[in-house]
Amino acid sequence: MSVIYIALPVTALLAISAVWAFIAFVKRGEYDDLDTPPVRMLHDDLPSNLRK
Amino acid sequence: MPAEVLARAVRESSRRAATSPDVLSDVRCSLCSAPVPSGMLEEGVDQQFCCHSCRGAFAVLNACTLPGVDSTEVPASVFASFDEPEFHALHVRPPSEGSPLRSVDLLLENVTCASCVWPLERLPQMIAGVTEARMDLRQNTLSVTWDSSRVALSAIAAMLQRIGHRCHPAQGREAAQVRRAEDRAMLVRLAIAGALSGNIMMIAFAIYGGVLNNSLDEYHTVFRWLSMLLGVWSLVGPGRVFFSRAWSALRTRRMNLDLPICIALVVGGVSGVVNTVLNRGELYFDSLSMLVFLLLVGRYVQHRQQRWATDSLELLFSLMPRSARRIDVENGVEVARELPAERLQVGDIVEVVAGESIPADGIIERGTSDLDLSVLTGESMPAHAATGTAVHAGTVNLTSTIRVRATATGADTRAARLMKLVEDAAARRPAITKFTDRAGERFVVGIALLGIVTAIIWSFIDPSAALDHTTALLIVTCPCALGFAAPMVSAIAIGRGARRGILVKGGDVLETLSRPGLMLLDKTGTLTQGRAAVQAWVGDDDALSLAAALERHSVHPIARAIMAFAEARPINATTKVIAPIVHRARHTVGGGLEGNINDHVVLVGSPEFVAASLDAGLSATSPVRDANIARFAAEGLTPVVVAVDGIVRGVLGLGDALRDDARTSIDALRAQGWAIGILSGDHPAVVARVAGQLGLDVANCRGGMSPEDKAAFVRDAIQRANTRATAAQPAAPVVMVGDGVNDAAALSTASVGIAVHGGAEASLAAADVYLARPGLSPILELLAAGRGALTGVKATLWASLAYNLLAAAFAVVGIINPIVAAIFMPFSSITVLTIAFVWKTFPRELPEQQSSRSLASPRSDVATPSDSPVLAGATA
Repeated sequence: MSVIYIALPVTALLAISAVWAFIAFVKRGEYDDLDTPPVRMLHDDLPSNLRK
Repeated sequence: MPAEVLARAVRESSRRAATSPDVLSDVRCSLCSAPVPSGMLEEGVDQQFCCHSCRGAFAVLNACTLPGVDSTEVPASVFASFDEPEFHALHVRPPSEGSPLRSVDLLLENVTCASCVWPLERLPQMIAGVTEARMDLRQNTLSVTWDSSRVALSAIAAMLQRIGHRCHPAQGREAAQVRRAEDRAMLVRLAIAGALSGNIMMIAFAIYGGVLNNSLDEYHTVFRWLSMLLGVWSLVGPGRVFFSRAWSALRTRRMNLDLPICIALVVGGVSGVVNTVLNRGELYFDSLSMLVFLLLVGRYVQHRQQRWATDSLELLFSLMPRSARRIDVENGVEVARELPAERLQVGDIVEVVAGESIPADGIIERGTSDLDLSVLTGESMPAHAATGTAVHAGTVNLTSTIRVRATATGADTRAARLMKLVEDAAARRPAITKFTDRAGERFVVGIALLGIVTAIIWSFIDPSAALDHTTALLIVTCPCALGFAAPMVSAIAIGRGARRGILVKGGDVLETLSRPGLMLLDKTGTLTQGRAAVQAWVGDDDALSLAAALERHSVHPIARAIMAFAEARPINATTKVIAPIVHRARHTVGGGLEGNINDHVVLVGSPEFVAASLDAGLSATSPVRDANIARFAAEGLTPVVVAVDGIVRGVLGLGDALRDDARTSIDALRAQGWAIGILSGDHPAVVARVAGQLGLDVANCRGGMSPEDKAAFVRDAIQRANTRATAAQPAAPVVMVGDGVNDAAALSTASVGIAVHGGAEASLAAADVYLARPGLSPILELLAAGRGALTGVKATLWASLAYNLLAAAFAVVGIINPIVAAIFMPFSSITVLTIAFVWKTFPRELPEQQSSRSLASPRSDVATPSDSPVLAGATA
């Protein structure tokens, strides 16, 4: 059972990195607009001759 | 993130419903092949479109103009101000430090559905020089980045105009940034609380597992310490908001729901830390951290929903014109220059063309015109203005171009002073004691009493266990379910209201409206349609059709009213003037029209104008008509005389027609126990006529009131209601319903201010509720929803109280422990949440004639011709 002393810090690190990642995404504004990006992804790419 | 998903689901459903108003038809959109909503169908046209953007994009792609794309309505000069340095200083910034590019946020009108994103992002990028265009559907803003050396912003704005979306600079960027930071902070708090709660739950599993297996060993202590560390983090980190709010409530000697919650958090936290250090007793950190998480979820969902309503209202503010055309004299030549209205200075000469609103207080320097003063005074008929007449900012110039010398600008104008009055009234308005806060007060007392009883009982039975059992009691009886559910009930109600075109700024508004009180309505634009309509006609149909033919040459509201009246009348085919040929139509401002139709000389206008034009004079030729003119004047109608070939052939009585649903709505309100009154700036005789038509008590119907009078009347009414209030029977609400700047102060003074469809900017800012649907019937839905919301909150209260009493009973007899608490907490929350979701506030189904442009520009109903039949056409 002493493996728990290794497992605990590892899982804690995982949890902290997940929360940190979420906070970083929030601060980058990824959660500001939840309506437009799902629509934008459906748009066709521009034909290559029109691309700037 | 469950909270995020929940918030989205609630909002998505409301957005979808708001934007896809009614049944989809079988017809497919000519551009994107999506089904066309039946409300968008047009008869006799080959091309059908599912939305505004598709219509506009089709027009651009085919380089043609379709009906419905109002590319010609706004002159290109409107966008000239977009290139002024003042505009750039206010609204434009580089996308990043030192970038040569420029970026601006534009608010767009007519964005109705997700399909709009494609044309709005793609078409501007086809202009050389535009590097990026990104749409934010939530706020209806388009963020454009462009190279200002290659293309002017006005060209981009004109492009958006061509595809049917008029754009405006997004106002209040600082405020938006502050709110965005607040939103993000809430989300971060939620994330931390959620992660901590989940992990503490895992640890709790391990601890309980050990307890059940009776295998208490060193790991047990480790997990207890871990649980304590994470639990304390949850309380002092994300949970801090509850403490600060409870503290601020205590400082103002008020109670709120945060207080009993904080008692549970503090007692649970302190006893948990002590028990961990001493390595004895129970820990409740799993329940406490989940409590923090769930409460944050409830508040976040409510916050998002209210934010959506506020954002929608902000869009409406920004739709108001804020530019002015200043006439400068350079080298002896007059130059017109567009600039933001805030930049105007006293002494500037401003040109105002017909249809525009006047940007500053001033005196007419040149020109005569008719002005629509209804925004400021509530007067329904246009007022005549000539050189030397004082005019006020916000009033609309109707008939011809005038030049105004500004005497007061910006914050000094009468409209701005009225807004100041609004702010003062809003600051003075006492905070409403919410039902949940009153319930929280009782909770605190109840819990304290129960705690004392438990402590006393157990100090007799087993003094060592008394502290533990009392602690357990204080934690399990925490009204967490209520704190979680009450914001949910109002969030769901606000969401459902928004999709029905009723924008509510806060949950407490619904609660205030749950009891009947005094409802005061503005007349012009609220009870009535806010525009002139023919109410009575004495004369022959022949003359009427001649008059209508002549009026076709005018854009004056009276002319439109006469045309609408003539078209709505079943005129005998033989008397109808077929293809009238009008010669020499002349318009005398403030008088009337004169013209030759099919060899008849036709005069339509005020009695004075017609009398002056006819040599013989009016009274000599027609005493009968004279009597009618007098009768109309007594009824508050404006007489308009029709003369053909020098003979008076008829008299029209013009007035402001009641809204179609005014009578039924008022009757329904009175049946519900509301007292109804009218506060109007219009002439008392007109108010008396409307009050008579609706059968209202004259005591509460006042005419000729200034904006200050209205606010004072509302204040007195609130005071009267307060003196009658008792502890058991809170003061009856005083509700003000209005639409103009002249109502704004009264709206913000009232317990609840409701701005109706087509209202002016000031009324939107001052009101708590905005009805995006025309008519008064949404008020009835709002009141029903208010009653529903309060009973919903009460139902959740009883449910959580039942759980709490059960838990308290367990605690008092001493059989509660952290496992029981951990099971109790989510069960009570889920029960209460279910009640919140199924509770009836606004009906789920949409009304039949939901307007697809529910968030369309205010006052749009004034600009469009009459679409409803004229009421009370009392013909002799």
